[in-house]
Amino acid sequence: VTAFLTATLWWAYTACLVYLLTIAAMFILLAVSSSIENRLRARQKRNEDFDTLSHSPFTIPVSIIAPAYNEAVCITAAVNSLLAQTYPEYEVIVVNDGSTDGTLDRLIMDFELKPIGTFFRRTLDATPVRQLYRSERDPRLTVIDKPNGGKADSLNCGINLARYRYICCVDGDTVFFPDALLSGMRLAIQNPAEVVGVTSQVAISSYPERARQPDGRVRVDRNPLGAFQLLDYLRAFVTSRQAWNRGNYMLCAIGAFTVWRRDIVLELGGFSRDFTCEDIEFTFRVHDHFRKSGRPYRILALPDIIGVTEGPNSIARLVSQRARWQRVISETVWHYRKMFGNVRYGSIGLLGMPYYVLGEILAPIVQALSLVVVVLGATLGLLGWRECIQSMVVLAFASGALSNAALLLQERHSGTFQGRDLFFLVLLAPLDLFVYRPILFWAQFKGMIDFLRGDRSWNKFVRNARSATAS
Amino acid sequence: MIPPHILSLAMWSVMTLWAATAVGVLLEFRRHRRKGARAADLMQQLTAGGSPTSDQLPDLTRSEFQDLVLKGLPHTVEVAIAQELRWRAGDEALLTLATGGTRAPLDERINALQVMASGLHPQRYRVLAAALRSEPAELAAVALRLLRELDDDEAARTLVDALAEGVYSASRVAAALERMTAERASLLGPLLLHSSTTMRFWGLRLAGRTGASRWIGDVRESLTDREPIVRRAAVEAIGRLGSVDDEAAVLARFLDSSPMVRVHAARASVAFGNGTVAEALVKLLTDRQWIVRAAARESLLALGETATPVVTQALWHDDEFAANNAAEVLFRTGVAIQFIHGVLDRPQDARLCQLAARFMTVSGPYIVRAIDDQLDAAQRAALRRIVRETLAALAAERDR
Repeated sequence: VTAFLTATLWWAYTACLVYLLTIAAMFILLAVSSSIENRLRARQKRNEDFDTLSHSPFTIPVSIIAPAYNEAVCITAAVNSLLAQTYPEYEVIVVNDGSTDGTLDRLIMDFELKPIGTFFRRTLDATPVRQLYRSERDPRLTVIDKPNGGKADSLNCGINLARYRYICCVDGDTVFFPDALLSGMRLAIQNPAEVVGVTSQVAISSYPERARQPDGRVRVDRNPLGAFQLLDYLRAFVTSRQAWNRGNYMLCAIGAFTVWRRDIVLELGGFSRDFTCEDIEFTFRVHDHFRKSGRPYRILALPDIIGVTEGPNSIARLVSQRARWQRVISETVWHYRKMFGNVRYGSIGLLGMPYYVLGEILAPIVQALSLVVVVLGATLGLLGWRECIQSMVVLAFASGALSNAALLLQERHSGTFQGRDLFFLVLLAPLDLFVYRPILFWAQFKGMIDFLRGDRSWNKFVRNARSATAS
Repeated sequence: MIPPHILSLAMWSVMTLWAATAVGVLLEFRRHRRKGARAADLMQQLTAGGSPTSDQLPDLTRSEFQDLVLKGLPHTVEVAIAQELRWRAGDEALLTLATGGTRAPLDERINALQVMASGLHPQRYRVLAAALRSEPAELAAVALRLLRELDDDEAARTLVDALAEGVYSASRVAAALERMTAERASLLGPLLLHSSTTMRFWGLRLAGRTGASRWIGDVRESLTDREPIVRRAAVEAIGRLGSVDDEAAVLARFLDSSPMVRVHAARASVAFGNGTVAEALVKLLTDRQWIVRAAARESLLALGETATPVVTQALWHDDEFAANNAAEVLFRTGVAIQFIHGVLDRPQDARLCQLAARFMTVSGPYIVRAIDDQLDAAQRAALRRIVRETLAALAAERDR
């Protein structure tokens, strides 16, 4: 029995080590590729003629659609930030998705909404509208009130009413910087024939409405949970998605901010209500559609931080959110499994899907296996404690170095954070493995179980409490 | 398992890597801050008193100069500094650099282009025209911005030529042209007759925006172009450039097969603002596309009092969309609340009662609620009674 156990442990240990080395090699390659992309985007931004774009009547108009479900505490700040965009022509459609916390009342009061009667065609299937409102304070704002149907349903409902050629899907809990839309649309305007989708980075904070400093830099939460999430977002955007851009396999346009060409959304029948979240599935679907038809297209992720979104400020809320994300990734990857390793899908099949399978789907399984191997190995005397500790230190500092690489690329692109915040983040980065990753591991594991159980619930986290003056 | 010395080596390696990247982050922050502070110092120093002298900019680099221009350096100071930098580098060397002759990095080429354009280098138009046609796209974007900032006849000609050749992004080139103040209307002729649909589209849009009335004949002909987007641009341009003679041609576009043309025809027709246009717009309220109906409704709103008689008649339209849109126009122009108050003051006026009853019937719940908000409880009750009695009387009359 001991011999069998030892042999099994040895194989499991080797498998984990191979996995780890593969992941490390993948992240190093992604970081190198990202640095090239990052340099290109920084140069593009520096030389962009924002003045002409923000004043030209020829700048393509955009319909911003913001679904909102129980966002009463932050909806006013979010909508105000959308109405303050420096973009020449756009409309804002807020879809109140059957909120029960007074989101609609807050909107009616703060934006002086009046009921309107507009007849529109239901191009996409969506829950029937209860009432339409237009703001007397700003006629660009329309609010749709409808029974709860989920985010995809709300987006489809908003698209039915949208007037413009591009739609910008945003979250109702995100506060946007004034140049967000201009920044997001500049590449689409440059090449509207090929660029069908653009997403951009958001920072994370417990209180988005207070995160931007007067000098334009983003304040970092001193709460370690918030700071770890910020590092996680940076790594995902700056060292992963930038690299995906280069091979045109950007597989996840974020729900907080993505611009889509409306004809493509209509061509594909809108956002799917069959998945827990719509963003990643729709991105996969667009890739699938264009790769099959052989038409040229691009979906881009920009490193510009265009706003600040609200992150959970307790472990339970974080686990709930991340378990949902894991479930969504699993649902989507499973649904589009035909792409995996399929040369017909080019970089999607050979790079994008393997990344998701290795880096996201297998991660909780390998992490669980590693835990068992280390504990059993140490107990049986196959692994020395010194060896275990050294291995953990290697992993912690490797992870810290990767976070630092993301911070470095972000600072090179645009000075985003204050010096003291950077110092804090740099010191915090190696602790990620011991403090933040175990939480994510648990969330991912839970997400996988939920996926296998066929759970489809959203599990929205309760908004962080605010003082009366802050909100 | 892993040999201890390899594990130890790995540990020290990753710790060194972490430390190196951490120092990199902090140095990058410092570099950013220093660069910003130096740019602010330079800006203050250079804009303090008139034209800068060469001893004020002993170590100013072309990259810093471009940063200052992007931050809004005053034009006269910009020209003076650029000419100083031109003189230092030499015109030939700048030309070689800007055209990529020395395999210089892209940033160097961009900085050289900026100095050439700002310093009024004699070859600037030729080099910018070439940059506009070259890869990578960042170079073309810079050339476009510089030509827009030059804002003179030659720059406008260069951009119109680029648009006609389909160089770079047509919408971006058109936006730059639209933003310029130099004479460019006279250059648009070839675009209007271009074989490419896209070029004709942008030519027409620019013609409308720049007030190029000399091309009105070509714009009129484009109203019947085979391509819908050209007709859409033509009708938009006619709305800006046309005269009363064009009214019939614009109204004819109300029957166009493309909804976008009908939308823009509805918007353009407001320029001719009269009863005939209002009648045609009311017919458009029954269009099968909601965006066209919405455009017709907004145009009727823009016509204001001129449209009130026909919009009032439209309350009795067979099409429920048309009647509802007419009610919305009357509500939003404030006409509805006037006659509601009129009927409350003179409930014996049969014509007013019928009008109010019809309005309240076709308005739908949203407008009814909005009207209610403007009345007190007694007025609301009186209005309900009048509407009820009028509808009953009309029904009885119909039965007879």
